Amino acid sequence: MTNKTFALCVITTSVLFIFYAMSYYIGHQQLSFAVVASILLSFSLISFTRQRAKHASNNPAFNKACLNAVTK
Amino acid sequence: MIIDAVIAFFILGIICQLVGAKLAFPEGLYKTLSMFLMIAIGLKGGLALQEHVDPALIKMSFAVGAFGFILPLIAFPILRYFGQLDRINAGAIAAHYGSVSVATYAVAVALLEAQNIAYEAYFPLFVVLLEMPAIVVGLILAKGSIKIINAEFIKKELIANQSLLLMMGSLLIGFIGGSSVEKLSPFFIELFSGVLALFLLKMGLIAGEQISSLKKNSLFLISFGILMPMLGGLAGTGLGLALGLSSGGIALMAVLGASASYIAVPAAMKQSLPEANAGMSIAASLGITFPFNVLIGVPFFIALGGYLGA
Repeated sequence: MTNKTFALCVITTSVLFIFYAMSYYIGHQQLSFAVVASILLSFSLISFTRQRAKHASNNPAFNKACLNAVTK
Repeated sequence: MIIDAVIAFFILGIICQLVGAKLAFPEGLYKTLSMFLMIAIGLKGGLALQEHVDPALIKMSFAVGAFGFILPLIAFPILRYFGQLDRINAGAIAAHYGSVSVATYAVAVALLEAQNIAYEAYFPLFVVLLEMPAIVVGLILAKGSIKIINAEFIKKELIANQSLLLMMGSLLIGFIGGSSVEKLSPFFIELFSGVLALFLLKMGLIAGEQISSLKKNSLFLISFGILMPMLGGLAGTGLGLALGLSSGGIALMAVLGASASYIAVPAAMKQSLPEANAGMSIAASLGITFPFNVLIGVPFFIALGGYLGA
């Protein structure tokens, strides 16, 4: 998952929450917006964190820095 | 909230597909049902137009046509920047999202009628008007040149377009047919909801199939497939308000803005942009946007139309 995809997920989640607020305001509360927003945000956060962790473990400079920190 | 019976059939279709039930529809039935819906929508509009012809319709038609040109221009930069898609695929998907889905429109009409909310009779005309501009803009964006819009393209996509011809033709038949059209109403008008339920059952099966096939770029497509109908729906609501439509009209305009094509545009893209990834466009429009609109978007836009139009 790229940073840009993650950014789009965050934007979509925000718009979903805005729609949820709007539905509440117009007297037709639709919880589905909040549910979809929560699911999308959870999935994108998991995917983004995993990707970062994978990237970090494949980065020799990062690994060396971790090793140095542990051995010091 | 109690789910409308017509929409419940859509959910049933998704469940059948996801649990692996072998629900086989006869070959060609899907096409027959979609033809039925297009004819029924056109006839209904034509019949209603007989009683109510609005001179402001010409001005409105231009505004709706312009709306069809703007929608793919909203989608294209999102696809290029956030999805990092090439011009061809971004243009093809933008065309899908700029055009309209007759099935989503049919669901909105069924829900409005179930709730006794009135809407403008000439909406089938707007559905027809919104089919084409997005294809033209999508192709220009994909190729980066206007040269692709040649005489052959106009003949194939504008004059010989099946859904355009069916809906426009039925609208005219309904309008000029006078009382003879009433003879057709037991089949085309009274059976509308039943046929729509059957069609949505099939759509549920297809949507379930598309959901399970989402792999590459899935989170991007899911985000885009949810974001775009919300942006298009808001733009449609704004246009409906600007045109001074009734609450039902505002809702329908929002639904037209929110919907994405999966019948007319894929066929046009297959012809004019064979190098585009058709699976990606269909997965987004049919696997994400259509279920989102049917289950969440349409009821919301009807409520929003009711609130703003009151």
